[in-house]
Amino acid sequence: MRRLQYTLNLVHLRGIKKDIVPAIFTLHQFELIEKRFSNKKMTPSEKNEFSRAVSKKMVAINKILEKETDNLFCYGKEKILKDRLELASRYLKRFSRMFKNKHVLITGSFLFSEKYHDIDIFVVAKYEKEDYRYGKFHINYMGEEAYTSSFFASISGICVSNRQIIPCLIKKAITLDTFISLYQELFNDLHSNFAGVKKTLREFLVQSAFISKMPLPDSYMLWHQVRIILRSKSKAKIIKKIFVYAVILGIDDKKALSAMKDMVRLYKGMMEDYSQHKAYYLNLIKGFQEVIEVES
Amino acid sequence: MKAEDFKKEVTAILGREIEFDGHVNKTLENITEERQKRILEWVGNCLKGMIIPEPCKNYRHLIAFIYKSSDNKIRGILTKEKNAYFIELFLDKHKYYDQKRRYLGL
Repeated sequence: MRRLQYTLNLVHLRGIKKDIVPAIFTLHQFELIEKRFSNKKMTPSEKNEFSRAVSKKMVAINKILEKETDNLFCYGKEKILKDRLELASRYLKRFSRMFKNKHVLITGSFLFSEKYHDIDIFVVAKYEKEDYRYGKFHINYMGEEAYTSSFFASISGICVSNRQIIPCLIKKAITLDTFISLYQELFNDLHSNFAGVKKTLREFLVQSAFISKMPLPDSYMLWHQVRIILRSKSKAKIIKKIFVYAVILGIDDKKALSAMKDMVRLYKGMMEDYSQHKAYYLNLIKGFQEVIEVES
Repeated sequence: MKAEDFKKEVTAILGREIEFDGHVNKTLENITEERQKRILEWVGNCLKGMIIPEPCKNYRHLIAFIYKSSDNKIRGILTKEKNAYFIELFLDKHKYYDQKRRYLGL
């Protein structure tokens, strides 16, 4: 089937079904859109009807929107430096030409900090690809499923985008298990002075907000929090406090208690076998023990 | 170093043959010999007990050592049976590493 000149957020489209059926599309045409964008197999006559009736309308609607917004949507404008907004708009046009018909966004510290490392460009594509550097730009690819991730919710808080961003329900599973894993990984990264600790910490802060049902931090908040934590002499202590706070606020006490007790048990076994790392394990399990203390 | 030679080196370091998982050959082909040597050095440090292992929640008889390259693009997981032998080396990109972590319960 021919490549489309537009993309659609199916979750949003289903939410506004009553506004567009029958005003713009018939029910049958709406079903065709659903089929096409969920990659379901279409019969030749459905394909024909889609390109003849649906696609033409879609292109026209997109043209109207493009003209009105000049394909520039800005989020978190109050936190973006004025000169950076102008630059970002220029870069966005350039990258929109480079990645034709793709959703492109510019985000990160370039928008709000005088000093920045590189300019983060995100391209939403059908398939994820390896990220790469292009001069001062860092090109990152995301699959379309990223729209329903906490990561996307966070980066789109402050960004310049060539498409309107409609908030989606976060579907990517963040559970107590994944959060515990991330806590363990972050602890290890801090201990080994791993160069990529910033990335792990950012993810940890987003997940902790999600777990504790707090608003997700945008990239400005994350940048600020990461800077404060990594500059602190008590990094591990702060991480433990955030972990404890998130679990207590967001997880059912019985579930949390059982998971924490299990983790303590596992690490006590590790201490017997690897006594040379006892200090590390003891420090790590303090987070689990603190939750047990509060929830018991 | 070719992937097969790398695997032989791992066997020599650990003193026994282990399984390999992930796109190991592809990963090794795309990195310099210096980086391959760093991974071998890490395997040696796991054996010496210098690297901190983590418990596997889903396979309680296993423990795992985690490797992260400095550019954050390659990840490794060396699994070992508790108080026994090393059994598997996983080497791949970040995406597959996350899947493997979830599988092992790390």
